[in-house]
Amino acid sequence: MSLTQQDGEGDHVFHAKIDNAKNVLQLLKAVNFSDVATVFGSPSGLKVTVEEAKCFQANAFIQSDMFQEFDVKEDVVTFKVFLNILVECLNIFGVSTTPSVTPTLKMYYNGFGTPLEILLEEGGVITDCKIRTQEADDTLEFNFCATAVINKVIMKAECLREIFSELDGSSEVLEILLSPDPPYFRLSTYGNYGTNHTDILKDSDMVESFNVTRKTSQRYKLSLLKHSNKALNAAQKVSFRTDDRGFLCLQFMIKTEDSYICFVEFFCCPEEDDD
Amino acid sequence: MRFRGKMTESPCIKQFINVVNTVARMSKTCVIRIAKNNLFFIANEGGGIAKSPMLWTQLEQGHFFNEFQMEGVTPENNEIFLELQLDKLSRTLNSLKLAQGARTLKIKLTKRHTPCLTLEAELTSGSIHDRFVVHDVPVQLIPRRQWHIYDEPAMSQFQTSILMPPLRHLRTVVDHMKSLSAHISVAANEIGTFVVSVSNDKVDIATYFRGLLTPKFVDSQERSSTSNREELHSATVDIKKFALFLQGEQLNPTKAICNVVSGRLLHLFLVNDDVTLQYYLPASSYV
Amino acid sequence: MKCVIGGPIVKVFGRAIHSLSRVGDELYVEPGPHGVSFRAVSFSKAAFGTYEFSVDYFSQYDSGMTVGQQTGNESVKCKVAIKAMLNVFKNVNQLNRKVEKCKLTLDGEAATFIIQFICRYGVVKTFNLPFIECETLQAVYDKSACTNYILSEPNVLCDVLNNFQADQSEVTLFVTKEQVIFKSYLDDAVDQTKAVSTSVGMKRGEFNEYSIRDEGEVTFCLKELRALLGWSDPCCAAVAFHFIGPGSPIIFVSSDENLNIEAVFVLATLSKPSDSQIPKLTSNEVSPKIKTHNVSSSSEGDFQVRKRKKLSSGEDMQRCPIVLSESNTPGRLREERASATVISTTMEDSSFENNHDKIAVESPSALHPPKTKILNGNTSFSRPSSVSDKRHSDVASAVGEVHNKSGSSRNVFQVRTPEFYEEEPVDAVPGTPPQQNLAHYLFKRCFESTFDPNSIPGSDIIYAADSDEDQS
Repeated sequence: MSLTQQDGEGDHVFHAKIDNAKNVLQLLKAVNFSDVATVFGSPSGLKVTVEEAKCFQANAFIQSDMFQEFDVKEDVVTFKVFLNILVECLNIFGVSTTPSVTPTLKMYYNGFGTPLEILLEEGGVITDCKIRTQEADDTLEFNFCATAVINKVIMKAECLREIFSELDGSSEVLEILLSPDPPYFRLSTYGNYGTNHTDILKDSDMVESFNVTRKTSQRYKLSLLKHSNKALNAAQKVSFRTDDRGFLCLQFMIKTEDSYICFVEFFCCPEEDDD
Repeated sequence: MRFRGKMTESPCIKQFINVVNTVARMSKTCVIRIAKNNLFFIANEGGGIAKSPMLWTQLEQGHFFNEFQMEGVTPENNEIFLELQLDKLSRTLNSLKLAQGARTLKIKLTKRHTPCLTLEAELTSGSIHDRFVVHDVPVQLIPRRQWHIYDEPAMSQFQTSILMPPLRHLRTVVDHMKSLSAHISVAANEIGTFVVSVSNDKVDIATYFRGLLTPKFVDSQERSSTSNREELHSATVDIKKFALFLQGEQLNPTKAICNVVSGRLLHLFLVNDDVTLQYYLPASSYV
Repeated sequence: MKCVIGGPIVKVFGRAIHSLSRVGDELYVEPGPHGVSFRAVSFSKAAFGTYEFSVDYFSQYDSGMTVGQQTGNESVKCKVAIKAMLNVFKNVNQLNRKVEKCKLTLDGEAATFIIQFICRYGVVKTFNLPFIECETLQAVYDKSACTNYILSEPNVLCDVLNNFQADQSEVTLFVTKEQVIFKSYLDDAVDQTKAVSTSVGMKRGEFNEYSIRDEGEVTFCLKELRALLGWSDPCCAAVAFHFIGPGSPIIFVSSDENLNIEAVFVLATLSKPSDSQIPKLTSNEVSPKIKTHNVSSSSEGDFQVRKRKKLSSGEDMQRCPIVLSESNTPGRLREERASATVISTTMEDSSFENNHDKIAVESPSALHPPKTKILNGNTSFSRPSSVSDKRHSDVASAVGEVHNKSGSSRNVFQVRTPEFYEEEPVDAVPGTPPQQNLAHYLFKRCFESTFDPNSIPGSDIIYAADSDEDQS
């Protein structure tokens, strides 16, 4: 049984241990919209990248200081893993009936061609998983740099959560309008049952900062933006940024169960204008 | 043929509904066998080994019913076998739960357009008026010559018998494994280790429970002397059916026992003071 | 029309929308000087529901009628897809928490129904729903003619109905002077040897008011009653039943006195006592397109009687009509129709026994001269006991839908026919009946156009005999 072979943890290309697996789980869940994720391990932590349709990317950052043990033997360790299975494994004990009992997690990776090994222990029960890995491909580079940002809004997640959950799902796109003048911040959908707008006042209690210099209006695929719902549901704050190319960057600030402040970000390309 | 039973204690009515709900989830069609001292729910649909039932539930009549009268087919065969869609009975009983619970529940065999189990419930309504509800659930009587199909199955020749870990906990684990594979391998040994595992082309995953008790059977010493007590005996079964059995935790069994016939069968028990549920899960390769 | 609903009571409106969505696919919006009605009718026209919100319910109200000009400048009446409305009022119970004000605007120029939620935190949500202009949707029923009346608290009714399975489609109400029994009605679509049958009794004293003059029974659909209770229960609005007996519509009325809202649901009832053990036809026979004819005339010979045993199942499944119309001048016409009904109930029912499934096309322009006669078909319910085998058609085809497209005078008062349908693809904008229903519409219309009410005695034999025998 693999739980006895805890020999020489130093031999692994990557190994980590955390007393409460829920912290990691929470962040992985936030980007769990596709089967496969690319994991980048470096001394500062893990970055988990998930992509779709060559125009949408999500990154979850899991800092190394959240772990009790964290060791990466190379500058960067990269592999692809089945994210949905990883999430299912970490969640296997479900929600504990006694809140003080949390699952302890150990992870090992031995390099190309080896599986990601996971040991979870909760209340004396042990789960042992071996998830196959694949060689990582290149990930998308959005070149989203702070200097090119035109508009930026930071708001409480609560408000956006409500709005996002009620967007008309029959609409193909979500149009985001930002403007220094009314209606300031408008989300529009064009669905089967007509046109809907949601306007948010710039001086709303929910808006923490509103730096909008120029009126912009861009359309994004609603189906892609919906992938950020899980992150939004876990988040406390959201930052909305658009750059001069109309690219959208959504950043979610998530407080984990043990009060670590973590970030998950999403990049999305705009839809081309047909007319 | 006559049958009439009346329950007047609310906890017993609730427990009865609970049993019916649990059994109904495991099997859609079910045979109810009414005998002098016991009531049985027996299911035989697909999956049983060699014509023996897949599910066998025994309720001690005296615990549930305050009044119980029955007259079987003949004085020598003083029993009644009837078949019904248990989910119908289950949904009907659940409607009683909805209406703040029944004060009394009478169950009787009646002749309407078709034979029926008639449920007469006296509901506790909010107002001063009592409310009487009558449900007729159609049943089919099973002729004497077919009774043998529903005989109690024999005890299997198992390699290992173990008391299962808390079902709620096990159920959570198995429910998560359900998304990964259609089959689950269940293994146990004589020193109290219980392992559930699934694997597919992407992942191997196993959960280990240890330090569990093993029930003492008369011949256990004899057996353990001839075999390695640490050896795991396993059977791979349909994960959905196994998960269904685990929903039986809602019966609050005092113990849950798993007997493993290596490579062939899981014989599972939920035991309560007044209710015993047996479930036969043949190994997938044998189906 | 422009009106504003205060935040805390928006959910009452939302629940009414949800309730109506269980009746029909389209929501009719009809503003008037004293308030606004929201209505729906089921596809088979066997059920009709309306919520009348009085002016007092709104914190601001403008019907859009020009004062002093009673004839010309009417407020816009329209219908919208009810799914679109559901989309707007998705989470009714959360509305309270978030919405501070709700504005409803009918923009006739843009043919758009605008719903605006002014929410907390400076969030404004605007929904623009396209609508189709139409005329008044009105069911013809007469509460005062009903001999039986009971009034019950909604939670008591919910308790009783909860005993029925969710898939139970119809119940029979057996009433005596002392008690009411709700019993599941099993039609032939269900295998009698498999279906659970349920009955629940309620004593006279459990009702707030109880006045039964004609003991008997009446069978109707549970779905719409549940839909009404979905609104009444949270409002704690007592529900009144007004009915006569088999074949005549049952009317449910529930009002919230504080908010000045009245809900009225009218449901068709089975025209034959449910006791009969004769197997009934499958459910698709209930569909309005089956127009097989009543064969219960006394002039029919043995052959008919014998055959009826086999057929009657289908016949007694036929529901009595709720006569609906979309009229141009609702108030006046409504009166006319009501009186027509009354007259026929008192003196003409026997002579019109054969006409029950007549198509009650009604339009103010009186394009159909046999209108009165048709209406009378509705009236045989006054003698349920003598009418053992009456068939009442659904009023599916009964609605003469009058289209009054704004700005185009040629269509004014024109009864919608298949030709009209084809000529006017304009109708195929959101809000028109769903595509799959089109066939039903066309079928119905085709039938209607070839239907001659005067030829009933001859035609009925062919219709009934052939179609039913083929199907059995």
